Amino acid sequence: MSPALDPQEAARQLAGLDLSNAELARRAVAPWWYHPALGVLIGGLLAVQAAPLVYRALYFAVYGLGLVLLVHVYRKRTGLWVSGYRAGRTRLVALAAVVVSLAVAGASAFVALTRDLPAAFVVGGVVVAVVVTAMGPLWEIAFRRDLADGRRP
Amino acid sequence: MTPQFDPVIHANNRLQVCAMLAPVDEVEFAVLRESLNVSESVLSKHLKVLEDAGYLGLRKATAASRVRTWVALTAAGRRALQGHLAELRRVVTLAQAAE
Repeated sequence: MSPALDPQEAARQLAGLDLSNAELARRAVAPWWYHPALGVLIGGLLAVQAAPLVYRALYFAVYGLGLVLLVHVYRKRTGLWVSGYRAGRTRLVALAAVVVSLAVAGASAFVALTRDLPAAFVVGGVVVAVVVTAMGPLWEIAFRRDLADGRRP
Repeated sequence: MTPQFDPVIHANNRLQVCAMLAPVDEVEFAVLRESLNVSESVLSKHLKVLEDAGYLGLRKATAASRVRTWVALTAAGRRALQGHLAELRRVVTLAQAAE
């Protein structure tokens, strides 16, 4: 309870939150190449399964380094960091990307192993890259809508 | 969420800080300062009050030989903010109902 709290002041403070939300929405925009790069990195994880073990091992190092660089650039450009799996519409978008990617990976592995067709991993990798790339902007739209709703996990 | 007035968060700049931190994991000090349009010393004082209350944590990270301070809301800070916002909405709703 707050018997001394002025209703007009409370209303002003609540209205002021829209400004902070707008500021976050303005800043939380990744560079145009961020999501394609993330898509290529993640899709590459699947595609490289068609390659010999040594190349797969090398790619894991590239993948790890790439992720570190992407996070670094995002932080530097936006001045903030937000988990892809934060509560709200954003989590639904992120989980949808994970589910679709895992389904594609499973289907690729099935085809590659049962039909002796390693190229299926490459095709699956390309599909995953496209899915992740497409989900990135959708995630940002979901984030802005969450902010507009005042959803604060 | 139970409405709960919080005198620590109530100051306008501190409410804005908490509101900016709540939807994200971390925000850089310089971004908060720019967004609130306050000096470094003013923001530092507000952050200290919130930190002392256990509502946020500060982390220093060096990148390209430059030290950046990252600010994050704690779980206690999130709960306090949600309670305070609920209280603000309750007060406004009561006033509107009385009109």
